[in-house]
Amino acid sequence: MTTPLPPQPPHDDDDALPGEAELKALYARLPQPEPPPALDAAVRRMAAGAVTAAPAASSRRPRWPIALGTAATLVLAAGLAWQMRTLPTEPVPSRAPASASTPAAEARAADAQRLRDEQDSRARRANAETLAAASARQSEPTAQAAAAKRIDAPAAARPMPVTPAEPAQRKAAPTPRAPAPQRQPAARMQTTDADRFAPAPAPAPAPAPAPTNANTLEEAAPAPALVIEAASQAPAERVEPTGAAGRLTPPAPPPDPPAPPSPPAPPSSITPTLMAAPSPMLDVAPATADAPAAELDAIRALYASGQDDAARKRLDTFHRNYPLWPLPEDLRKRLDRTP
Amino acid sequence: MDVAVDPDAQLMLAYGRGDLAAFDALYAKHRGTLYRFVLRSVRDRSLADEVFQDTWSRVIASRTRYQPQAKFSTWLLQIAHHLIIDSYRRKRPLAEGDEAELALAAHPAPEHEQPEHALSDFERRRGLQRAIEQLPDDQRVAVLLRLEHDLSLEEIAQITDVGRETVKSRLRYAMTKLRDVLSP
Repeated sequence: MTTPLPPQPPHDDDDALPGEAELKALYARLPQPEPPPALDAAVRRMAAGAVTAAPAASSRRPRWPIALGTAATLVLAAGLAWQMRTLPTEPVPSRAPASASTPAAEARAADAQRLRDEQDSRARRANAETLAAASARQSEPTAQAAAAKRIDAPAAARPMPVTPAEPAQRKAAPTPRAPAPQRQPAARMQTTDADRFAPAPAPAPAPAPAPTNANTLEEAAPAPALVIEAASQAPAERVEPTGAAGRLTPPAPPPDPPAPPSPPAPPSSITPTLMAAPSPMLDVAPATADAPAAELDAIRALYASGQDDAARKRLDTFHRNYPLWPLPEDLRKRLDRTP
Repeated sequence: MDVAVDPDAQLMLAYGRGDLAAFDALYAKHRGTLYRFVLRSVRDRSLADEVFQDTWSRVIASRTRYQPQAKFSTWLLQIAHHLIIDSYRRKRPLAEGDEAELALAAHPAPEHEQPEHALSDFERRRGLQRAIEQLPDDQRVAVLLRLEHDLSLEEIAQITDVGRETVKSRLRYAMTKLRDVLSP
């Protein structure tokens, strides 16, 4: 409870102004205006509204500062953690700038070297896969033609030029020029084309191959040019892989070579893949995979035309070159009658 | 005066706790004096109504933050004075001369004080009223606070934010003018 205040004088005597009492008495008799009732009602309505709305406002107030404080704390903690995480790594390069002798620089150099090695190995693997894919596409011809290729492969270990744009790779992998023996063992026939891309071991000494035009050209020209030139001079290789034997033009009967060159085909028939990856047979025999069958047809033609001596010589040569080639019955009989 | 025992301050604290009856008591006690002070300061009824309502709305808004550091009446008049000064700064046209007289005449004097009953006294009061209207703003406010609310020089200085001697000087000038008008 409050204590009632004692009646106080309006002000001290020293505050009194001359003539103030008279003015105050006259002022007291002035009209005493009062606020209108509408104004009184408005003020009382405001006061009552503030009292009734106060509990709701007071219950809502403490919520948002808590949420705001929590969010600010989280932001500060995240920023501090970020700064603490990045602090140890930043001073190292600033304190030792470009000092190759420091352990950090050596570690960076080792990392860079390791990265380069990994990139090189990846590039080599990609090249090998490309070569394998190309060889797989090339090995799609008929099984007979593929077998003939492998039999006549002069240097199975010699890397095959895949594209003319890869002379650097060919230089990196030295190509043994020594011709392989013409008579391959049966197990050698099972080797895949991918095996031929591998660096060749020391080539076994082999007998000199039969002199052919392709061999002559190959020995005189560098490898990429040889590939294109030999391909242009050996049109039998430029036939399409499938059904190539049936589309071969019967070769003219040359006297000695076992696989005489066929008439040159128009350059438009040269497929880029075959030009880029010629068969290893080019090293020894100009004949293509279809050459044995064509040769047999030529031998038959010689027999039919009455040139038995020439036909027999060619048959003997064919049998020496392709000992595993299954001869037709008529030619086998003629071969058996050969003294 | 000890503000801790000011009954008006206790009423205001009670209203801050949600006691609406305490506010009604406060309002009933101060509504007339406050309204007259505002009306005679701004000399415009509509503006006086606006300032009067704004004064009480500020009292209501600050009910929870109210700290009895001074008498409630001083605090209330201080709020009203600030609003009156704002109205001066907005340079609203003030009722001059006859307009002020008409505004104040809307509240007629009691029957026994009509001019036909006491002509000379009425003319004196009318002269006093017009003399108050013609005072400068700061002098008029000081005179109204002194004559209407019977405040001390210190309280007037606290309300008007000026020094005590300044208030005393304003009151001297103002009362001299009023006496000159009323003297025959």
